[in-house]
Amino acid sequence: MIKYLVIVFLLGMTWQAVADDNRIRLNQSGNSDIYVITQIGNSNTLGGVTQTVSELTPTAIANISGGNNQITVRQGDSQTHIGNNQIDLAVSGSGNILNLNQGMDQNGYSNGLDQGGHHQIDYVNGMGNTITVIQQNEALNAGMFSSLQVIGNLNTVGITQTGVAMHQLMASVTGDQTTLISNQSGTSPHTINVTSSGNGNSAQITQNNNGSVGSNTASITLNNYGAPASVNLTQTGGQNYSITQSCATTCGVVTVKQGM
Amino acid sequence: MKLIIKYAKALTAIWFAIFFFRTAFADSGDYLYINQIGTGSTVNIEQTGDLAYIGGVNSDTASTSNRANLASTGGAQTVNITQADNNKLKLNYNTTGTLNFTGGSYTNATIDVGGQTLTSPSSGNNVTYTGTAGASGSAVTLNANVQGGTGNTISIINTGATTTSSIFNTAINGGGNSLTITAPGQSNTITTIQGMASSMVNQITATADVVGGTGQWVGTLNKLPDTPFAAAAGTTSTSSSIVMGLASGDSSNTIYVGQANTGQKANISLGSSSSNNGISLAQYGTGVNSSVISLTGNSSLINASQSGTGATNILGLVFTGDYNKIATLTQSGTSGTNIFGNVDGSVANTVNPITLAGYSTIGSLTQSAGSGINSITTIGLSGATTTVTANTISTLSQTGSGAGNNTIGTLSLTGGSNTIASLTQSGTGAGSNTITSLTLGDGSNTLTGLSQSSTGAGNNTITSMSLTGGTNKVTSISQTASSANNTISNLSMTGGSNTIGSITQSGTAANSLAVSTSEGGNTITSISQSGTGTNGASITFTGASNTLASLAQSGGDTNSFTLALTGSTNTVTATQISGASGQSNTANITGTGSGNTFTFSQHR
Repeated sequence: MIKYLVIVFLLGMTWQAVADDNRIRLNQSGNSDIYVITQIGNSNTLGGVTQTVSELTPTAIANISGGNNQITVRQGDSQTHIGNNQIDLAVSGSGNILNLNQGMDQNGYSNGLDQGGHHQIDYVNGMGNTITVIQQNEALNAGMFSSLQVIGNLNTVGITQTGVAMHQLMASVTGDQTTLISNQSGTSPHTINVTSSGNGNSAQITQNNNGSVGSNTASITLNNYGAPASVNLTQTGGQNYSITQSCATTCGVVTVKQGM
Repeated sequence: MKLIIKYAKALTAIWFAIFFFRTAFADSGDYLYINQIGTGSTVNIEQTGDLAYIGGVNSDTASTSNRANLASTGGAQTVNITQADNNKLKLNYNTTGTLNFTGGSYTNATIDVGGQTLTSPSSGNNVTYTGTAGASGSAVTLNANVQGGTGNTISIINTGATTTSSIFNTAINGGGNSLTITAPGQSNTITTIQGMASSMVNQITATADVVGGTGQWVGTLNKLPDTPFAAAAGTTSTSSSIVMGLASGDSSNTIYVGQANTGQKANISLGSSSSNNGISLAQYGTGVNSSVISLTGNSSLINASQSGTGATNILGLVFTGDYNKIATLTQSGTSGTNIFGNVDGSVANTVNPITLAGYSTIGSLTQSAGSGINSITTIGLSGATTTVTANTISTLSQTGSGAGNNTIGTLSLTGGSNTIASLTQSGTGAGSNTITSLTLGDGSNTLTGLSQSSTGAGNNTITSMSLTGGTNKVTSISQTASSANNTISNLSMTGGSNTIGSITQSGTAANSLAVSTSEGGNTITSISQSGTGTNGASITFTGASNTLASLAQSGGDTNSFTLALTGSTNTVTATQISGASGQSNTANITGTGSGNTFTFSQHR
């Protein structure tokens, strides 16, 4: 936890130093709404109505409540590729579809040459939500961070971080039958920390680091309260992982593949 | 039978008096020739038969050059003339005193007071003509001229309710004269011409006043209806005042008013059920031109023009009937103040000064001033709640080049199907363009084009604009400024299914607008804010199925957009594009509702 806070703090400091170009503050409730948000510039921010630079209080986080909403956020700079992007978003409700792209794709396109730093903190509370997080860049020191907390059942989470920057993912799942798929690929260190609590959850994690000094670090904690949970971890390049299971009944299947 | 009376006496002393008394009783076809020069005389003439004639000495035929002559070099003469039907009178009244003339039907009378041939115009005369109509269809022609005199009082009253096709021509070329004309009946013509002398004050009251009268023509001052105003002789009278009216029931009448020089004032009214009347007003003095035109009937046609260098033009209009049409309203002055609807205290008309009640039209309403002020206090197009109305303003324009402001206080379209085709305010100087309140009320009202432009330091401002009721339509709103601010403080749509086509603000200073709905089904096709200053837009949607199809902010130091949305199936699309580095785009979105679609794009 201390490590996590330090990372957030450092990213916050970096964020404050960047000019604030595009900012959307959002607090909306309703069902079946469609949000299409595109931010292209040096510094792009999606946050709450009281948000100021790097502020992370609850009201500083963009808030969408309701079910069956389609939320698409795309941040990046398709011209100079140096923009820093920040998403602070909380979604409560069921059946929502979130597609949060930084550096673009999927399918916001761009060509994968984005050099901006990406920062994302998401909270999702509800059932049957589908969350897709895409972060990509090609700048060594740009940084890439995603923090995701999911509460509820039958949610589907996919997080993809690609590019040469350092990748960091903190994911927490509380609920049943939730599937989390994460893919990190690039040449800088990759770090992933997943905590899953509930019944029948699964995590499929791939870390592919082909850099000369690249490393992969995975810390996975499964708290199985009933039905078994499963883990499928694949690491290419650096190989450092920790998997902890706490099983109320039968533990699930853990599969680890390294050095593919 | 022929009767000739000739009396002449030279006047050589200050108080020389000759008493002349003559009463003539004449049969049909009698002729009376008069040439009297003296002081203190009283002349009573009565012709009771038809085809009688009063004219000049030794003339068998009446002509303007050979008229009966009553003249004086020092004192007053009192003349009383009474004629029966079908008579003629040609008279030069070149003395002071009182002339009372009573004519019958089909009388043709020409009375010159202070004749043009005199080097010293007479003054202080009191001329009264009283005409009594005979049988139906009788007509009277009367020409009364006051040439160069002052302080004369002329009263022309035709009391016969059935008199038709009578002509009353009066000319006042002096000052301080008073003219009152009452012409009942039908198809009568009243012409009064005022001018010639400068710095004079004349008071004219011309009334074609009878219930049921039709086809009357009332004109006054300086110009015959079929000749260009500029061609009229004598345009220098000052501070004249006109009160003209057509009473209830009149129809197909024409009122023409032309005034020049300074201090002109006119109050023109048509009665409660008058219809198909025409009013032409031309005031181009250099002082204060003030007029009020009131219509309570239907289908009348108005042309009004106020102009002059440095003039202050004030015009109030009140239409309460239907199908009335204002072909042109024009006010222009290089340094004066142009005011529609704000009349001065002497005219009791301070509420809704420009009001169109139903099916009425303003073809062109134009104000232009150099350094002066253009002001429209109130324009109201309204209709009764139980009827559908279709009032139209084709063009409403205010232009200025100096420090004067262009101002529209209240402009409202209420009722059904009212239209303003074009509303324009433009300035090149320090003057600002302002619309304080613009309302499209119940019904399907339309504002096709609203434009404010400033190339100087003046700001463009719409303080309040509201679309209330349903299905109102505004095609475009445009604010353009070079160095000043563009502001729409409050644009509200409180009814359903209102439509705004486009809102455009462009300038290098600050562009700002606030739009709100309180019900559903309203649509804004596009909002565009562009410039190197600050762009700010606030949208509040309350209700279902409201649409902002496109909001675009570009180039500003700061682009800010605030959306507050409560309702379902609303659609909002916004794009912000900032300019150089260090500039920013900000959007705040809050609200509740389902089935809404939000599309936001931010670019730098």
